[in-house]
Amino acid sequence: MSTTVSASIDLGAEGKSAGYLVIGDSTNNSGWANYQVPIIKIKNGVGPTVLILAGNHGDEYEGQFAAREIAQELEAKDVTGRIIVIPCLSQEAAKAATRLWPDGTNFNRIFPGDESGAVHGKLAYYLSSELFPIVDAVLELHSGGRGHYFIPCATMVWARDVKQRAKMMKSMISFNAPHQCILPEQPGTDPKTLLSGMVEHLGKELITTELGGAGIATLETTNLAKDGVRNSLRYLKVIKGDPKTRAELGLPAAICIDLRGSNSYHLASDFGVYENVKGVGDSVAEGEIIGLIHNMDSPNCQPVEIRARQSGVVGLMRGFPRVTPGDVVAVIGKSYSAPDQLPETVA
Amino acid sequence: MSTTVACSFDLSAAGKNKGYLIIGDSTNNSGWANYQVPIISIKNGEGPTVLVLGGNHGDEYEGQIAAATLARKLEVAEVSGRVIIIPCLSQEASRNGDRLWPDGANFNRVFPGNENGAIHGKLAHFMSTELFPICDGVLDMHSGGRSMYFIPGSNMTWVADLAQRQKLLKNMLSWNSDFHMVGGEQIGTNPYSLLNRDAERQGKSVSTGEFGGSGYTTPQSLKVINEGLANFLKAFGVLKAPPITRAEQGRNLATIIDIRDGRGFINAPKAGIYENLVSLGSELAAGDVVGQIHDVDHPDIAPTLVKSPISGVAGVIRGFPPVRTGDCVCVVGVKRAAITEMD
Repeated sequence: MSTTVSASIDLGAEGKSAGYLVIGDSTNNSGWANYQVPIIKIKNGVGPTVLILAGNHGDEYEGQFAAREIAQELEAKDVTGRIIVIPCLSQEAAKAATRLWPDGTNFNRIFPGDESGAVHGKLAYYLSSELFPIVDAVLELHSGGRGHYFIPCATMVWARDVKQRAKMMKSMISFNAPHQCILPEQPGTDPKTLLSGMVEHLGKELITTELGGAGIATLETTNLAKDGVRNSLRYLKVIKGDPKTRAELGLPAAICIDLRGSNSYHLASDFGVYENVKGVGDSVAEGEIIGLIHNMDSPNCQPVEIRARQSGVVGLMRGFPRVTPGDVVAVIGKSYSAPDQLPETVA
Repeated sequence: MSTTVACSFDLSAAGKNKGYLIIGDSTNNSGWANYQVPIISIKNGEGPTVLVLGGNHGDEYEGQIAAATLARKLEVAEVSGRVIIIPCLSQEASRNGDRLWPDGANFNRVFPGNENGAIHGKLAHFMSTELFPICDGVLDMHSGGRSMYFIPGSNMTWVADLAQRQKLLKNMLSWNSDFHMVGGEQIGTNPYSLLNRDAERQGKSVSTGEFGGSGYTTPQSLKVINEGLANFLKAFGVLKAPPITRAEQGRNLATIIDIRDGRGFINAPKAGIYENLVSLGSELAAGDVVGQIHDVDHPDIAPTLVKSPISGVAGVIRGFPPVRTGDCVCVVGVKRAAITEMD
């Protein structure tokens, strides 16, 4: 229960309504201010409740466009149950085209939130304590943001529980993305501080994506987001109509990339301008040059070579070329025809 | 003649030489400082001198990488004449991932420079007074930067002078890209404040291009610029190897996108978050929607549709989605099967 955030609309009422999450705020220019986060609810009869979230990171726009369009186009009669949409969680970051909020906060590292904290902390707390408990499933739409370009894909973290994992695979496949990426638990991160980690911790169904990035949303990546959300909503039985498989849509089979291994991640070893020698979808052999870091301060023009730590397919390449040591420049993993073909563990 | 910028080595010396343009500087942390801009010269025997430039705008990395790659790979024996390379003109902007210098200066609007001005002014003045005069050809490699994404390819301004136009045209086509854009004079801009036009004013053979954008590079965009740059230098006669045409490569004629009609530069009618609803290369009829602007502060306001006033093909789409009123979100031009269709 949050005492610092409330919805301006009744989320339990039948029909479609649009309003705000109203968060108590106080700024140098406005005392007693309301910080308003747009929210749309569409409810019709009995069925599951699905929460669609985008803009967790501000510079990831594909999902924000999809969420807005779907909130706009769906009418109550299309729905069986309830759909709640927050098209942009990190408004301040989205307006500035940054990943983080202006105070440097990563919205995806502050869960379960802080009821009496900053605006983002209050919002996260409201999500954790009021919104997640009333939903059955959460669609959370990410992309690479400015820093990275992800092969447009649906994702999942490899769960230890086999039953849970099988359910996650089905959900992931329902997004109909051309690629699926299997991710490890994020290194150096408490999983429950992530929005997705919090959702899973509460036992809710979760569908996540990485739909491109580099701070540009193209028609192709945005359409993938929109079509994927619609199909997953059908799969979750919250909108009418049967979900379609890629085969039924005449699309080639999806490729699954296993990004769990410790050798998947490739880091910049130096400062400079990073060149993607290999792009997303390219197959690489262990030891092959995948990128070069150019030292633009020197006329010697001898770049630092970044080589593949393992053979596989490039699932993520660098967006913003200016790198500092430790920045992720590529993620590479072995590809499979389906997620259930992956080995139980990887080194 | 510049008294405030000097090259750390002799640009007329034979062989491959590397060093810096040294610009007198003074900062809060360093008095009597040298501001250093890396420069490479590769000279061998007789032939033209070509200046290869990247990073005029800091967030356009394709040209910076292509220029640095050329400087690394080009051997003295391959050259017939001289190739001078400055991989990154606007270092401060490039470091920050910005188009402009930290003080807001657009390096491509400061020509002919200012000998006693800021670093960028001194650099532009040196180029205008010392570097351009010793060159036959000047290449200025751009891309859309963070805000735009261009169909990668070389381009030119449709100048009034016919002899000059022919030179620009020949240069443009020698890049062998699939697309070329031909534009008019830039609106609201003194043409001679631009780097390329300052070089043209001095009678130099100039070539420019826009090789992608959105503040990131891909192997695909770098292939277009790296291969195009090499073929340009061959066609210009500064490399010994012969150039190749698209026809000889078994490729069809390049598509010309004629963006001289100013109406094709589509600006945001309001502020918000812009969504591309066309792909690069999409064919459009007049009145077709190219994108929409979302009002993200409200949950129930339909997006504002942005339409193309003319028929044509989308040559540029928006990168960075937040827009202010008047920001360029799309450029639509008329598709020409051949340059002879231009008038």
